[in-house]
Amino acid sequence: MKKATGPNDEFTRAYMEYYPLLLSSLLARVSNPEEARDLCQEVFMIFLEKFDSITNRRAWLYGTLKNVVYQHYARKKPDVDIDEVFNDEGLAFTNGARDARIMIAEAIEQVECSEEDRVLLDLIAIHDYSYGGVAEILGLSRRQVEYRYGQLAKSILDYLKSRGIKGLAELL
Amino acid sequence: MSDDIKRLRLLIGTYKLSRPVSPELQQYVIDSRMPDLRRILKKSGAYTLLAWLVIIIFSIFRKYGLHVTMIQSKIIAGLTAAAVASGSAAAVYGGARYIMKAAGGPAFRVEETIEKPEADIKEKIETIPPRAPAEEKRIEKKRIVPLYKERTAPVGKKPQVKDKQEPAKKKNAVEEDTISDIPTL
Repeated sequence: MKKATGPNDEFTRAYMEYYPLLLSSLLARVSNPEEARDLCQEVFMIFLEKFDSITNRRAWLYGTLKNVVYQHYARKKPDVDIDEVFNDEGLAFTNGARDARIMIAEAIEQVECSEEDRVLLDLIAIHDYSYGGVAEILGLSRRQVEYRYGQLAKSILDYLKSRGIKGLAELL
Repeated sequence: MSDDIKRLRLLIGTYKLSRPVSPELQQYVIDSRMPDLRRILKKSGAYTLLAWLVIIIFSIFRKYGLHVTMIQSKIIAGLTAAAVASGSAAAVYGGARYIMKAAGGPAFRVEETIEKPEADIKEKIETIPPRAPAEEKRIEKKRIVPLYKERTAPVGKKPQVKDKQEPAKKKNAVEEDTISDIPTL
């Protein structure tokens, strides 16, 4: 295990931003909040160990989260179908709708923004966090969060337009 | 809320891309962030009191919407530590000085308690015998130091006798008593 002599500033900053995102994802997959917290700690322990070698933090954290949840279900509830835990409701859509869904998800994923804005977008758009809550997590004012989210929403819609979707009525 | 935000929300809701977290759980997530960080740092061996102080400053500023970096938090922590150290040093110095001043002063004395002061004083006054007027005069005379005592009469001479009626005799006697400054051959 890595023995850090002092506080790892970068790790602390990354933890403060990604922790709410990861725990929110875990709460959606693990019913017990205490278990979700333990799993989240496990993910961040590994994150701290391998911190220097990680380039894409967000992708790495979600990948590790998936592995940790797999292991958790394998240990505690072997009878649970693990694939279903990660299967989204979107898979039940018909092919056409599924394509639109993938396109929107891609638009959200492809939007060019900073790491912090990505966390902001995920928390508000995906996990339905309030502006006040996100402001507290990221150290911003409520108005800043609202403005940034507005800019990100505009960027996503612009991306969809660039992909040939002229009106949202085509998707809705 | 802008139109773009409304439309994006509508899209995400329609295609079920969201995984909403209830407001209670949102608060639970925010509240558990700091205790979990402490546990992680303790488990990894990176936890120190100073590091924790920096993290607390970092999180407090963020909580109130002030975006500070970890380096800025360290500077604030350093300044806070310096202020606390100087303040406590001044307090210790002041306290020590006060104690030294209190310990170095005159010892406390307990006064004698007199049960019946007035009666006692009266008794003492009564027991003191009144002085005779003649005795008081004698004491006063003793205090007067005559100047002529310094000049002692030569040995073998008769002591001077006061005789107010014969001033001539007295003059002669004074002349006899005087010692000549001219050395004798």
